[in-house]
Amino acid sequence: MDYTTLRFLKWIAMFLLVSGTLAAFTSSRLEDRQRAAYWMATPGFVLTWVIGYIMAEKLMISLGSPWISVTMMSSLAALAITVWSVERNRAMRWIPAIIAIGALTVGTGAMTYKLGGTVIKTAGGESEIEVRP
Amino acid sequence: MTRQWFTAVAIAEGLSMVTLFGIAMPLKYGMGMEHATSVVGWVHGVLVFVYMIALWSTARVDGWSWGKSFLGFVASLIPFAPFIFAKKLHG
Repeated sequence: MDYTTLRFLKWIAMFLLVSGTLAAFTSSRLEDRQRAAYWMATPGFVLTWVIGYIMAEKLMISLGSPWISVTMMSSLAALAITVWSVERNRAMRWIPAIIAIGALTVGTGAMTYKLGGTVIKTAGGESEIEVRP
Repeated sequence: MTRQWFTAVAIAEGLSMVTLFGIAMPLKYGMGMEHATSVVGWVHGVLVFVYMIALWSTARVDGWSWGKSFLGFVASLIPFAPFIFAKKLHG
């Protein structure tokens, strides 16, 4: 699979994750909020991680790169908070919404600006840090 | 809907484990295909994270005991056990 196709698929996965998270906090009915969290945000999360891994392997990027760690932790936190917020009998609250959407924003920012530089894997197993502008 | 979602996640996690142990690992260790477990292993790892989130949420919604929740956790470690655990949930 070529890199452009992977980027396109990653975009779709990110769209699912972000729109599912937003809908889980903004829809008025609990069923709609659950549907968004379970059937949009969750598949989006899985696809984002899997496609991201394939892209990192293709570009020889180490998963230990700071921006990848930040993105992984923030998206995991966002999914956990989103799922927690749509549990039965739980009213929509703004604080979890701000934390989840904020975590996704931080993750997307870290991914876009490659915060902390990218660690590139070399043939000998050694790694070096390359800070991209 | 929470329980249906958990069942779907459990089936996906179970399938990824069976694929990893039944196909990818024999290819790697039996036939020397070094990269056979790469993507399959990662998919399984991601699904384990999602399974834990789903287990944690479903246990709270349905008011499971600690024992039942722990059984759900143990099921994620044994091939085919997630299928059995999910089936038991639906009686």
